[in-house]
Amino acid sequence: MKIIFIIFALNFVSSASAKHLKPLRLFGRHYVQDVLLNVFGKKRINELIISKYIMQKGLEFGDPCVVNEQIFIKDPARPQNKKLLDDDSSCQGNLSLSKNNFGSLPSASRNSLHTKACEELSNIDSNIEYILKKIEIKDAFTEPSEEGLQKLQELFYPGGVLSSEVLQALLSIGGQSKLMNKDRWRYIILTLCLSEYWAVN
Amino acid sequence: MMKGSRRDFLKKASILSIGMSPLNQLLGHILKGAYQEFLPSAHGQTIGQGVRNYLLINMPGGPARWVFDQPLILKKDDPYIPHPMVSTKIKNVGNDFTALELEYATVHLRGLELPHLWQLSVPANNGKTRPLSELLDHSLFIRGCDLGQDGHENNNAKLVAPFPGGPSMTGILADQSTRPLPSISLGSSAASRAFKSPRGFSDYAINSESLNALDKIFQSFGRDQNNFRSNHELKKEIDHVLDKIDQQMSSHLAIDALKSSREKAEFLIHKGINGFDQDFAQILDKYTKLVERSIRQTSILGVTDQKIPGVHLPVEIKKERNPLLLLAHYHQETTYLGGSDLRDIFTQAVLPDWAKQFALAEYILKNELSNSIVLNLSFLHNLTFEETFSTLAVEQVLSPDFTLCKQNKNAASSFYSRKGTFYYLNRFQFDSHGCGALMTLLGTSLIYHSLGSCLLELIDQMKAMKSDGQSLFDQSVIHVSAEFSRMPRDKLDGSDHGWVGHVSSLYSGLINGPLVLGNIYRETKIFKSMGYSGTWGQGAPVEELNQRPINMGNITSTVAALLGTESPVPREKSLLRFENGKAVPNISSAQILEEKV
Repeated sequence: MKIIFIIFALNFVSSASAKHLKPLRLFGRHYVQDVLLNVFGKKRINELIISKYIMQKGLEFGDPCVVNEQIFIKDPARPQNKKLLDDDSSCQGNLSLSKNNFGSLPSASRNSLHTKACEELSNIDSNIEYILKKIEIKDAFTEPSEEGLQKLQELFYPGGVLSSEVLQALLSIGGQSKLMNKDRWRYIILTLCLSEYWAVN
Repeated sequence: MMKGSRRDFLKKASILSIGMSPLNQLLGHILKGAYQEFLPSAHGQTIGQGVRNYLLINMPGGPARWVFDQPLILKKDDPYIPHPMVSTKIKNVGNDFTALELEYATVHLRGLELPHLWQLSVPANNGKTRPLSELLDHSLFIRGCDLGQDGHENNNAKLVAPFPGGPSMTGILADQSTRPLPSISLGSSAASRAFKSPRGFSDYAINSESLNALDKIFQSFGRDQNNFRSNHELKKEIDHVLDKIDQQMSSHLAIDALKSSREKAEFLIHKGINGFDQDFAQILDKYTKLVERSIRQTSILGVTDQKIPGVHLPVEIKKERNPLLLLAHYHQETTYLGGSDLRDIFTQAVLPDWAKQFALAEYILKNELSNSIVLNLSFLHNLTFEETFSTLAVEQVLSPDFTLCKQNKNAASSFYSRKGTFYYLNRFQFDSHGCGALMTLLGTSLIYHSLGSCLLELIDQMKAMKSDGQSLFDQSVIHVSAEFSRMPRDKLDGSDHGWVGHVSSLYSGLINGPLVLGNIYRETKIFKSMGYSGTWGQGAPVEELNQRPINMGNITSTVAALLGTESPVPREKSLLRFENGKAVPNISSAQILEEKV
């Protein structure tokens, strides 16, 4: 009996200490790009936004770049200067990014860029319509519903990990401000996008 | 004979293994936890609270330091052997270049003999001048550091990461910092590239080619296009949901870092970069004026306060002077400097990006954007020459008795003399292999004049900022360094890598200066045989370091001790220790030692 009690006590203390020990690390730019393109749709405008705020920000989002992509040419505007042939190359002229770790730790600059990408993506009407179609909502005039929200969270959190309390809070977004349903959906999508936990490794 | 049955043995073993499994986990967690806790809380600091600031002012290339922060003698009777190239002042200039004489002049300040420059004044922000010696109050000069091997890249990287490939001082601070940017480096150098954070942060590297470094830093935090923040009700609702998600996730994740980064980002986005721009413009203007006044509109007593005639041909040199050694004073790359007044070389000189880098450092520290900053300062550019003579041509026309004769004038001057600015000549490089004794004195005097002026202004600003009864300067360490100082050639036509005589100087409110640490040799046979004689700063053994010279690990551990954090090389002894809250030397006073054969 004593042994069983000790085992329980050890298990309890062990699980409590485990929580303290899990350092939080975020996936790198390639994962974030994949998720965002999957949610908002693979369109040129979305690719440009993601390239600007995520893919070109190896310093903030991590993931090593490919050194061989770095081709410099003479800048026609300023012949004494060099210019990157491909503005979207993953090293962005900073070769030290080739030593990057996969993923990164949370940082204010990463969060800020993540926020800006989410804001710009959710600001595009056609993106909202694309997502609503994806989660089988008839049109943008349809009021946000629990069922729709369940499907929506699956896009960011496969398996639907958010609690019913969180979902209820999401449903109430825009209610006080009496926003149009389309905008309520927009800000629900934005909020989910802003919650960086979907990028936790 | 075994006691008990096989069944009993299996039963006990099963219970034991079940029991050991969580115990094993628990011990593992406790040990790992204790380690994780130890990392950020070394020496009693906690993450984000009281993390001190580290500012490395790096001069990649390794300029000569004997004019400024490499005092060679500390007492008048120190047994040093003067080297004609190791000069701090012009002794005699006369009306003709053949009269030139340089000297290692010192001034007695705060109980120490220090290089001549320390008794002079430098431009101040109020338009007047102020004594450079104000810097001494909180300074530590470390000399005679033996780097073990030559090389620019490896030794520059050692400034922050003395163990190659290991964690850097900048990376360790980044790990502890909760500031928006873990570490920032401006310009490019091996020290910047050596950044390595044990926890995996990246350095925020800003290339000097970037036209507006501030934009680059703050573009991440620029105001958003979406106006949902202006709808306060909506913003509250979104924040409420995000808090709920935090709450849910906190049950199985350490969310503090994520939450804190979101709050910092929100703060900076809310503030926007417009306000930053305006503040920064004023700071930039201030340093631009200081740098310009320091290198152009200035007269450094004993250096640039009187006309300095350049080489002219034809000329006759007194028999007692070696013409090659005399000419070597005027050596600049592949030429000898001519012209009526060599001070004119610097009338259009610039120190590119110095003002921008100092302004950014002040701005970043004041706005608490980062705890770790690396500045990479550039050398003097845009020098202009009235007249130069090819060294080769002049040496070819020297008469057999080494006297420049009138009849050889044409050969020397008509083919090879040049006027104006030349790309390959128009700079005073820190890596001054080709700069003769005079050019080295002029160039380094102007550089350190400018550095002193900017440092004093930056420190003033740091002293003015108080929190918890301490000034920002009391919570910071400024490290002025380069990969190495220089070994003066006996030929006086330049200097080479002084990798056995590295110099670092530290400035902090935590230091009661001036302190000078590190033994140097009076002269060594091996270097004398290679053409580097006299006392120039070669590292000599220190008793408290097991009879070996100071190494870069000792300097990094000293910086770490001042920052109150762990050292990237904890086994290397710090040169300072704290007694009653004050930093005191951990090794005996600096001396000049005779070589033991």
